[in-house]
Amino acid sequence: MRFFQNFSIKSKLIGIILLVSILAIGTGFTLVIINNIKTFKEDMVNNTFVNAGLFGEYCITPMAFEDKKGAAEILQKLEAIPSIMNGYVYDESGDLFAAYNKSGNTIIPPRLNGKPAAEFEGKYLHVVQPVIYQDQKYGTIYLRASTAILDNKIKNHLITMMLLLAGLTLISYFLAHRFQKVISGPILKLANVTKEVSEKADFSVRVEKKGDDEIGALYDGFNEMMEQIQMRKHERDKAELALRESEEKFRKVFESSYDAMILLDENEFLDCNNATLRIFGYATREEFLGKHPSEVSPPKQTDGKDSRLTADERIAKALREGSCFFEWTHRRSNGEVFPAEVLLTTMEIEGRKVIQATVRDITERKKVEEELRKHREHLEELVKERTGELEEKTIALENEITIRTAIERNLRTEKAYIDQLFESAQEAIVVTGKDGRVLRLNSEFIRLFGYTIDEAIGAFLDDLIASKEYYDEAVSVTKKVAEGEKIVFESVRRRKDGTLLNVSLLASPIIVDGKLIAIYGIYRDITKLKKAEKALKERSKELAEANIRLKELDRLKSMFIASMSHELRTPLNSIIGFTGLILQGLAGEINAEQKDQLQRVYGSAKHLLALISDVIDISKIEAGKVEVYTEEFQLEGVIEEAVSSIKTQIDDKRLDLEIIIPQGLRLKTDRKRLLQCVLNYLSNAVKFTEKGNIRIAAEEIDGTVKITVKDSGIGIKKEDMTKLFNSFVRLDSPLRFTTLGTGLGLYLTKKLATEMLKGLVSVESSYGKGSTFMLEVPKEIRDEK
Amino acid sequence: MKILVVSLFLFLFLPVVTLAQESEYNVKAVLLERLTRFIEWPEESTVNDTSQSFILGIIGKNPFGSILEQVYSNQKIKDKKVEIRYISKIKKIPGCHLLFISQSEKKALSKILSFTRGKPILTIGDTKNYAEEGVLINFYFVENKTRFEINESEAQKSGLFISYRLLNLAKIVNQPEVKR
Repeated sequence: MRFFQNFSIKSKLIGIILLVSILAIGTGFTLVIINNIKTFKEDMVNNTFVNAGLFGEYCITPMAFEDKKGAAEILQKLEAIPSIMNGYVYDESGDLFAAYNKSGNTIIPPRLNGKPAAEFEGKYLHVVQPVIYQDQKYGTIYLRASTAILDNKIKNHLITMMLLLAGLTLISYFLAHRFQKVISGPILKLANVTKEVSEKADFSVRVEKKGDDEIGALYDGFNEMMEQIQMRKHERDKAELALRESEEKFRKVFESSYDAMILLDENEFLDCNNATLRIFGYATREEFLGKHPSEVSPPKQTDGKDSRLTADERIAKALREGSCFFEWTHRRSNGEVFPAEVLLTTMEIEGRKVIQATVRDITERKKVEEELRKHREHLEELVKERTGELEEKTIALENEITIRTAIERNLRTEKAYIDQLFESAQEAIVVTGKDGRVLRLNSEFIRLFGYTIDEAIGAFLDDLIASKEYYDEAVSVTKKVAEGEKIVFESVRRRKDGTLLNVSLLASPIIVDGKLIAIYGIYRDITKLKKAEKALKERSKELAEANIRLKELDRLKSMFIASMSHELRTPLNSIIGFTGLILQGLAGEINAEQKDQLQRVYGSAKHLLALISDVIDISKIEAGKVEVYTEEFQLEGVIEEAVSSIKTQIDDKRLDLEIIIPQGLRLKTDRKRLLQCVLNYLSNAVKFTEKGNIRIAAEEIDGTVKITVKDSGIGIKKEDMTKLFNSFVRLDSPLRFTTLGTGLGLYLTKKLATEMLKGLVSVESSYGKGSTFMLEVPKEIRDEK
Repeated sequence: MKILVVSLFLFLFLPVVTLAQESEYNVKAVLLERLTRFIEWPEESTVNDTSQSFILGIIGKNPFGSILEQVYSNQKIKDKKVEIRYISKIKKIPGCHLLFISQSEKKALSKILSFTRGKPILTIGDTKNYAEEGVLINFYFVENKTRFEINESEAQKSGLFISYRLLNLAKIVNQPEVKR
């Protein structure tokens, strides 16, 4: 395989194609040949069987009539079949009945069992066939056929196939030769171009790419390489130019020295300048002239050639070609040998051809040249350095590309984020150019406005979604935003089907690197919101009106109650006063029954009075007729006063009373109202507590005084808590029928605490375990007047 | 191959039949059966009914003696038992499948034949000119060998089908006109 590697691509391709073709064709042919040989053999067996059958048939009658001679005569006809060597017929008992032997092929007839058989043995085919007529077996026929004809046939077949194989191989070769060009052609072309480049040093050559396959890639690579080489060469040429310029400089310095100038013909020097004498070391011109150039030269040149002969050659050349320039080794009169540059120029003076020779002593120049060479080396180093720099720059460039690729990847990710946000936004988003033409839009925009992407892209946004009434507004918005303004507003826009919708709209410029490149709009459909808002406004208006009416009604009611209460109280006071007088016996003796009944009148009247007082208080508060009367006092006094008024009831029920009040806590508020509140809480606590204790506590927190009344009574159900401070509420409890109450107590407390003392009330309770009522009031009420 | 077969037929003429070391009528007795092998009786003939015997009739003086009985006591004809009838009167001919006409009946031959003609009865004789006169197969003796001749035209009329194999072996008398 190694030697195969050195073949040309062309040879390799042809070789591979041929190998594959020959393998394929060869396999096919082998199968065909094997099949054909099998068929040939079968044909022969079949033919021989047919013959055996036929001749068996012919022999039936002779055998039936035991006519051996007749049978023999029939068998003799086998002569006409060239392949059959022997034919034997046996009778029923297996004895030979008749025989035929082709001349020179007599064999001993085999014993046979009479069953049909065919067998190849060596160069012969043996066929055995029983002879049967109308179910009667007469005997057996045996044929022995030579396979010579079959062999010949097979041989011819093989030769034909081989020739065909050779022919096909040849065709494969020609086809391979043709088709390999498809692959080898471009490669060879590249090879030729490469060769051309290296021969001509022309690096501007590029190859034309024909396809985008691997060879195309190879061409790209080649072109890229040539680009690089050309760049480097350009750099080097610049360096070389610099070198040449500096050489020029040195040469000018050198040319300032005198050159020897001599006029001569083929035979001798005719004339010369002074520099000649100086250079060659002759005192007078006469000494120099008349000499042959070889006489001022060493016998042999540095290359070992004879000076005389060489000189004549150069002169002849100059005469023939007009000029001749060469280096020459000269000899001064003192025998010193020196290198020189000689320029021979033929000219005609007075019709005679003479030669003008310029001889320059280049001893010095040789030295200078040496220096020059060193200088050039230095420059070459410089070039190398520059090349190195160039490579460094290339590496830096590659690094930058890597970084940029990473940035690009980040940008792509970023873009994917934004694209997904853009698409999944619940608002319609559209991006247009500064001119207002649609660049991009999201699916919500399509859904909201009903335009397809194809319809929208490139169209003026304002044409698409601004109705006639709002067109000017839309255009001015677009203009403002295009000038860098960001606008948020609500307006009306139009769908594709012409229906209008309320939108809340954000229009803003997209600014990249301080430059406005596009604008975008975000639309939210607020049609439903607008409708709801409108409905809400109408409802609010209705409610406000109703409220005003209700307040007026309430005020009228309160005024009515206030005046009515007053009117009620006056007669009630009379009833209480006079009943008291009767009870005290001031109006004469009363019996026990009368006293009891009057006691009830007195109690009921007292209760009614209390009820009316409460109602009046509430009415006054609600009617805004109560004024707050502030004074400074100690909390202790208020609590004591409240406790003393319920002291008898506490003692009756044998409850424990606990009072925790900070000493000397002073308040500046309405004392009477505060007392009323505390008393209310306390009387409630006593009313609903059958056993256990009641605790009154107070504390000051940041200018607020918190008074807590805690009991261990029946407590309040959770669902009743909210109703607690409403008017005329008496909670469903076991004590409801045994305790007295107006149902206004807590309502009044709340009114007093919130509206007069500027405080608040609250309650905590767990049903069956007790309740805690709290009152928080500012320590000081500022006089509002 | 066809040319070969045709040429082969051209060469086949009058093969000699020899049955070695047998007396003349022994040979003829055996030959009677051999001949039937190559002859087919019409489909409707009782010959094709295997339940019935093959009727071999001999009319006139019996030249076989007891040979026929000996030969056909075991040997079947057309796979049927053989019944030998000695016929003295022409009227008794019907029912015979094969009728051997003795030399003695030479004078009554035309009468016998007028009775058998056109019927599937294989008439066999061994008397000169019998074939020419209308007997279907006639043995004759030449060069010490027994041969036979066939009146093919009469054979065709009889409705019997004689195999070409037999025709090839026999001397044909009164060849029929070639059918178009």
